[in-house]
Amino acid sequence: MRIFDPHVHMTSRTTDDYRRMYEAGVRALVEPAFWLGQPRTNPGSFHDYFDGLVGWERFRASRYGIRHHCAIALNPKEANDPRCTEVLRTLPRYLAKDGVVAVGEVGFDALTAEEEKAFRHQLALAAEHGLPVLVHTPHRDKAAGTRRTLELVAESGLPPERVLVDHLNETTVDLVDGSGCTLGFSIYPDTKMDPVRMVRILQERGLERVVVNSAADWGHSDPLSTAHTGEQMLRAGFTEDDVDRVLWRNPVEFFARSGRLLLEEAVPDTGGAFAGNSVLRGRHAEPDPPATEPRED
Amino acid sequence: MTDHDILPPAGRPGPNVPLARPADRAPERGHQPARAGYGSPFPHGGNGSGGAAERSVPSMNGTDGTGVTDRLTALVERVRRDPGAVGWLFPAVSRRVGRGPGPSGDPEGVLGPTFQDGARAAVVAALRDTVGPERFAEEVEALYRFGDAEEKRAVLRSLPLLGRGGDADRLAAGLIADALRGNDPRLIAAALGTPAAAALDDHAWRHGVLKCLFSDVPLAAVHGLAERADAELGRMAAGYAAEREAAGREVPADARRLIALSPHPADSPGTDDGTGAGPSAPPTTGQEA
Ligand SMILES: [Zn+2]
Repeated sequence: MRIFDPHVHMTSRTTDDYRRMYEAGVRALVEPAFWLGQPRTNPGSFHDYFDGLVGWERFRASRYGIRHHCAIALNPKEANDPRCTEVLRTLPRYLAKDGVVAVGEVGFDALTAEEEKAFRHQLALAAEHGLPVLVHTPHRDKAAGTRRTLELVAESGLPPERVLVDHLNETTVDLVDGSGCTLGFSIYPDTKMDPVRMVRILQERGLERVVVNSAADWGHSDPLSTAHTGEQMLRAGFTEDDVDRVLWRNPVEFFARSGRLLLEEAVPDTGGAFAGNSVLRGRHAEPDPPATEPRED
Repeated sequence: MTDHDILPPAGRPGPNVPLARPADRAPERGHQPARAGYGSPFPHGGNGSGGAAERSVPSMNGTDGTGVTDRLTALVERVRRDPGAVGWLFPAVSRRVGRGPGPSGDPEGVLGPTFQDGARAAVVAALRDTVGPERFAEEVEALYRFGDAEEKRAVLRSLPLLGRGGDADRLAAGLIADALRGNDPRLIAAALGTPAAAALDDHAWRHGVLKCLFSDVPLAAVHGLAERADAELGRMAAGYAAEREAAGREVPADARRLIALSPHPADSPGTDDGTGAGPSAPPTTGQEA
């Protein structure tokens, strides 16, 4: 089983986790920028965090045989603090980097006007940088937050296949499915999905445009929950190839739209019908991001 | 050191350089929604001051048919025309021009600059030729500050472009000290692998060299080691060796070399020239110090 975890906060995890993840088949991951549990109070605090995501954390993961990518954004919760929003001005420096494969996590926490403003702004940044977007859907008033999310995505003009709407469950899956966005499910104890319910959704809906992540962080969570979901799929009668599709090919296909995946020497191909490589060749033309003068090309 | 030493050799990207992005590909068009009004992403917007510099970059001479040189030329010209864009062009250099080992053959850039380090040095050189010295220093500092490990390494490899003297030395020493505080062997190697490390005071330099022994950085990566190694460094290395022996651990060959290299009060310096006893493997799985 080869696993690409499209949403896991490794900054909060130990080297033992990296070891166990490698043993379970995790070969690549995306760490989206999020809240650290303790509110930040200034842009510099974000810069140091982003530096860790593109620097030390990527290096640390590589020592355990795992390709680390990240998504960069001002998260919804802290978009409400005027002391932090200044960080939006420096995001373009980070969005230009290798291994930055999406803008994220963006979206709603408490559905405020400030959150919406930052969300819109960052959807525009994603368009400018040719990057996919990873959207967090809220814990509270989830259906309303998801509905508003889809409206903003539609207004942004971004192609829906470049947007991953995450933390879905039984009550929001149909809503997002109809939008054409990629569907993300977090297998996260107590508050989100579990492997059995996840398999039920896969049985009912099919495997297309679905990605599964652990969303493991500093809370009660499990970085192996992707592997547990793969095992549950096999128990329920899905094939190895089905598991490979959900746990590897689907997330690779989604993030390859950035043209920035760092998988060149990674990962044994399990020999399925679909070679991971062919996705990597499908890089889109890289746009010239935020022009500081009218573009000449 | 001349520019030439840190710029990529003409037409020598090596066969492993993936041609990341054809330069003639059209940029993605279409949706350009208006921003929500947080202002310009960079403090220095385009000022249209580019294009004045005539100074040619050594590596630009000739073409090799691969297109790499053309792409680098285009990138350098772009920076000359719009130096305010360097903040997002610099991170994108590998994707736009290519990546791979440089003359040292080391793709991690520990033993010497990689191809993309050289390409980024060409961008830094173009910036120097286009903006005033004050803004150049500010931007170099910002490229380092907001750089990922690859970009930081390239800035460190480009430090000789700052020149020498009070302000340049202070900036170089500050960036090198920052790199030496971290634990990334690529950055430690680049920090000590540049002639700009002359700006570091002896105490900081010795600690940097000793840190190599803890960080899987071969001493072959250190610029001018034989000339600068002194008795104090030898004393520190001997202490390290004694500590290893006391713990029943092996004393690495580089530690013995450092001891041999430093002038002893008792006998003459060793014969090792400090440039490395054969090809050292780049760091692989060393652990946290
Ligand atoms: Zn998250």
